[in-house]
Amino acid sequence: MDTRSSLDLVRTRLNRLGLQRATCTVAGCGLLALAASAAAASRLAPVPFRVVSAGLLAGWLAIAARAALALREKRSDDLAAARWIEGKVDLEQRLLTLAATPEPGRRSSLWSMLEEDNRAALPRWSGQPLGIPRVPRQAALPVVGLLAALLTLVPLAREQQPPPELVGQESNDGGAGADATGDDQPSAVGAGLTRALSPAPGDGKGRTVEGSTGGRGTDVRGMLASRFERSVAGRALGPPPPAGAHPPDGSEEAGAAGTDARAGGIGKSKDQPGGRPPEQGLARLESGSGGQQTVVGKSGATGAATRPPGGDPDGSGKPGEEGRPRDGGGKGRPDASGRGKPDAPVADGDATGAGSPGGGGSAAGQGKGGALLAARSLTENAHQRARFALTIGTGRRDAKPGSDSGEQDDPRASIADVARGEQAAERRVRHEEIPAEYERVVKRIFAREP
Amino acid sequence: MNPTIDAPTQADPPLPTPTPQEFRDAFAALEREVGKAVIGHRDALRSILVAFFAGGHVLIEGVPGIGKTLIVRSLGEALDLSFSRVQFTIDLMPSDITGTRILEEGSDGRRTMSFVPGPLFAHILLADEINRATPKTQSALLEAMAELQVTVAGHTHALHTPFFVLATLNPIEMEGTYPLPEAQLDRFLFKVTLRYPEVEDLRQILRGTTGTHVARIQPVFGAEPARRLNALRRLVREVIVAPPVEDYVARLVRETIPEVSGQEIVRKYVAIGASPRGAQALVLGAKVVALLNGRVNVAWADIEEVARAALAHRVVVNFAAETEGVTPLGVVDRLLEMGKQWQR
Repeated sequence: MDTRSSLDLVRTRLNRLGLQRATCTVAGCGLLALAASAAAASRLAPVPFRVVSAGLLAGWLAIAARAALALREKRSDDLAAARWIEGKVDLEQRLLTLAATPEPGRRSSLWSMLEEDNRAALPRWSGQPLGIPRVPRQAALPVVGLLAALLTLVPLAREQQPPPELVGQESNDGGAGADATGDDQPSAVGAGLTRALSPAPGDGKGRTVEGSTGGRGTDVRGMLASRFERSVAGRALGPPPPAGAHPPDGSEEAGAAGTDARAGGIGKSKDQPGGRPPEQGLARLESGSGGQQTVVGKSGATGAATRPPGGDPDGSGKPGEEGRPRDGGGKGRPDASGRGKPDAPVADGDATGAGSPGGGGSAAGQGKGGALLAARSLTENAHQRARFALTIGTGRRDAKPGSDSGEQDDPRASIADVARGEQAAERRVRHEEIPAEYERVVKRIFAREP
Repeated sequence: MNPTIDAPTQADPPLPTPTPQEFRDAFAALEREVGKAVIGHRDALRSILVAFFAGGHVLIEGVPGIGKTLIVRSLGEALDLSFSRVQFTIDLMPSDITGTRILEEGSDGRRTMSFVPGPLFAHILLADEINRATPKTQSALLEAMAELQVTVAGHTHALHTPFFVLATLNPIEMEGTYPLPEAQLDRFLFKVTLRYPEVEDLRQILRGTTGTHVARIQPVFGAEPARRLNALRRLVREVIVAPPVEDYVARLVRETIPEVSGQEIVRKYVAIGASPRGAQALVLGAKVVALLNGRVNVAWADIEEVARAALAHRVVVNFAAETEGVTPLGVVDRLLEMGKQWQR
């Protein structure tokens, strides 16, 4: 290898080293900024987070620009490579002269002797390390940045993915509880489903089944449906309803009738006399074109069960409905006690719509059998960004932002529900059609005749 | 009247360019032969020879009796070149050194003006105690030293090549002397200062000059010494200087100028900096040193070796420097120290 080739080799190594330095610096700083941004996302409010992220981005861009400029300025040519070698090996500027002398200087009669001198000195530097590191010190930056990013991002990812075993465990617990108490309410199951399908705590929007989580939400939904059918519907809810059982019609009246008809079996276990399972296909979630999911009762009555993603309730209920607004606004609040109050798909957020999903939820609350989630997919034909939650015999979910628990029972609401249920039952009795043969008896009663 | 120029006396074709090794051999032979008569002063003798092969002139400064004239005379004998000596005095006239035109009567009785060459028309000129002549006479050397020609009565005469002026300067007995103007100083490639000999050197001087034995200097070049010396001078010009080395020299010289220098010592103590002739002197001297060091290219070290001799007499310090003891050599040394970073 002659002097020129060796010089080119050193120059290439120097340029490659410069490129490695710049790349490692930019990549390392980028990873560190990413890790810092992720850490800030989990700790800061949105506005400070945006500020911090913007600062990190600006800093990273500045570093990248500086690295690019340095790479361009320090790009080695033959002269720079010769200087580098002369700095490492004392060649008395022979190589520097060979590399730097322009054409007029090369016409000297001594030029061939200079080349010969450099050839003689070639073993002193050609093939030697010359202090050019194979890996620059800046290579530690990407490693550090990667570690920092992993340390920051992995815990966050774990927090965002609930373990499926938790839902199954709760489902089983709910089924067992229902059997043990004979209260015939799959409250734990409902809680598990609610937690899996309801919005995440704190943001008022939360996790969705077909939302941004995409395919993972679909998996969770399918898993939940299968587990529910296997463990809850098969054990806790019992066999299909017997003939003559009073099915809820999905309307407010149906829910009230269920409340009123405790003697008819609502609130009792399926094993108890008079207990009745919910009808299959009682509740079916459908998707509206506007992103709403509505609950369609058996009678066809519909009520807005969910809100649009924007949180603005737009449900319209059946006239005469008196569903209780959830979280102070929604109606048709499910009863945690499971005593005849309907379980309904819970609207996301603090729904204030008048729609009552009571009919849809009443079947589950009454502990009747059948596929609660129906054979049809929950999200079929639904908008991908729709959100919904199911509460089956459990307390309502507190969707207040910042709440960590996500589920709280409001004692005042329970009392009010009980009172309202009794009042509604009494009102229904008063408006009940009385057979003609009872007219005389009734008139006598109202006349307070003996 | 337009001057006319006489053609050079040597019309012979130049000899082929010698090799660097021949140059080193010739240089070593000269050092050896002159060293027979001149005891000590090895560095001064080397600088004088470097300036000679670089094509410049040397100003030798030293106290009386230290061997200035001996060096010049010995060098003339070793080179086997024509040698002239002029003792500069206050009444010395320019025509006394350049030559003059005289009226001559021919054989046919006709009278014509003819030119009689002065002592300048020799290969080696010793201008002893040059500072004792008037500036007018000193200026008579300017054209000869710079352009190797003399103009007398409108007629220009070319000097012999190689032409080498060795001027001596007595640093004492300043009464009745005329300090050399900067223009005159600038024409000397190097200024060499002779110092008192060491004890051992002094003992050898006594042994060699007070006995019956007289050192005989043999000519280094047998035939045609002038042509051979010119060939060696051409070889010096062939030495390669890399652009980074040229940049270093340019920056070094530029830094001696107080108006533009970035060095505090220069701005404070230097009145006049080095001229472009200083840079030329640095490069030419470094080329000779490079050949002597076995290279065909100039290195940083070559520049540093000749910098003191080439720049010190071109840097004129001011009164503040004299009062504070700052010498031109100190300034040059400081610049060389700072110049290390310019080499990278």
